[in-house]
Amino acid sequence: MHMIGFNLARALKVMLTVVIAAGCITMAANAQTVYNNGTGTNSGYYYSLYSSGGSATMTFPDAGQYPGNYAITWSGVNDVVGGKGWQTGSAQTIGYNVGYANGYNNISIYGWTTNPLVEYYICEFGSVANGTYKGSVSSDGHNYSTYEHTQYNQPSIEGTQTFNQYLDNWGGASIGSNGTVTTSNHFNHWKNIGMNMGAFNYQILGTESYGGRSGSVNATVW
Amino acid sequence: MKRPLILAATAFLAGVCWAEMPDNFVLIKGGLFKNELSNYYGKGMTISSFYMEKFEVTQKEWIEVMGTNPSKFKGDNLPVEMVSWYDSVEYCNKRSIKEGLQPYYNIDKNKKDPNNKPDPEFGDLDTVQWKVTINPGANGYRLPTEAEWEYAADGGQLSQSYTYSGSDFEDEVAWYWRNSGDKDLTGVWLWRAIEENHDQTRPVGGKKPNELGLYDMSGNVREWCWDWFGDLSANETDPEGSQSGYARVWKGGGWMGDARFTEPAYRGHLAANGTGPDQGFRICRNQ
Repeated sequence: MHMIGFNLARALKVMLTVVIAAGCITMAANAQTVYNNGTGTNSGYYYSLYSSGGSATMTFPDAGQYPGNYAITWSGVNDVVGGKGWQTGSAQTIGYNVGYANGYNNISIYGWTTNPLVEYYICEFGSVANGTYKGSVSSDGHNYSTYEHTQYNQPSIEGTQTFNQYLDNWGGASIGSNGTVTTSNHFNHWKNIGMNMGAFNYQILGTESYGGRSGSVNATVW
Repeated sequence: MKRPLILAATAFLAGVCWAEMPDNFVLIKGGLFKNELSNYYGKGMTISSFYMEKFEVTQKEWIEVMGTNPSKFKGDNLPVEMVSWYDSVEYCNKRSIKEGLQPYYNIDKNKKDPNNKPDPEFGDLDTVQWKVTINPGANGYRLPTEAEWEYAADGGQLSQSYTYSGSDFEDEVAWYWRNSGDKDLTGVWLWRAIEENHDQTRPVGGKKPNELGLYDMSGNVREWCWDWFGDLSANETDPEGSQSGYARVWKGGGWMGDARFTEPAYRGHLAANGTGPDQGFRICRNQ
């Protein structure tokens, strides 16, 4: 009896702990708020927010249920760039859903590689078109226009360097629909036309707005 | 009577020898690579002893020799920047001549170096292409080789196998983009954020030195090395890198870049005529 009683108490205790712990995790995932600038980890994803002028706030309203969720609101900013993703990227298939978005310039898979040093965008909303048109690639049911733009002796994550920006521009994604970016299609296409990549640095589903605008976004990446 | 004479003679000889080597140079005792994170570790590579300056070449040192100051961020005790690889070897020779030493480099400005190849990605970035060769026996100032630089940054024979030069924690030893401005930056690397935060070079020697007493081997300005950027060799003593190439090696990362590029093992490269507000150098001399 004693044993049974002990086991019951223990089981109840364990259940209670699990419930409390689950609640805490949910609260922790949701409760974080980033004001203007910050980086870190939320629900297992790398997040980052940068803004200048005005104000910007990043929250993770549905991260308890959808770990890759984030929301940013901004007002009168010179510049805001924020998003969620991976500290070290890869040629992975990325899913996303943008619940709402307004006042942005682009929402893109954004990242860097080194050796060779490359800054890349795969644009799902808005536009990043710039530089030399290099053809197009079909991926995930739509066509992207590919651009290459060389930056001569310009600032980069390595410091001053001559490097290329690779830009796959679509911008036709729909609010509220699940989207997919099969990054390997883009990376292979770039490789096939001589646009080589190196070792992955960070990779995020980023939202960018500049020019004194106000706006907001709620997006989830997976 | 004999003892004072011997002591006096020793002191005299020591004085003569040390008069040639400025105080701020450190003797890097040679040997095999001890840092387990080094590109050369366990590959039978040996470095001979040499002298290396404790600090990156400052603007004061540069102006004393060259007369002008190309740096974007001005200050006597700041490292000189906006200097190409050609500017750096020219400085070495001019300083050697000024101090009565034998110039280490033969610089022929009228001959295009046939070993200077077009960049496979960007073509002929280097429009200078002077032919520069070395006088191995000269006692003048010179750039370190890539292997010498890495050996010294790793702490030489005193290496503790740190990730950065002198520490496993980048903020202890390196000025890089997060800590080189008005306030510490977070978020992903973003040039606009760095500019607005007024990131820039910092006075040399402001962080902890490494095991050999060398400062800023990680961060502040990237440092030119002698070598062409190319494949690394093995089982050699004092390797000098590839015979040809399209860019020269820089090491150590700088204030503008991410911390991972300040790791001594990271191999950077830039066209020899390339300049930037984060590109400087440090000098050495043969023992």
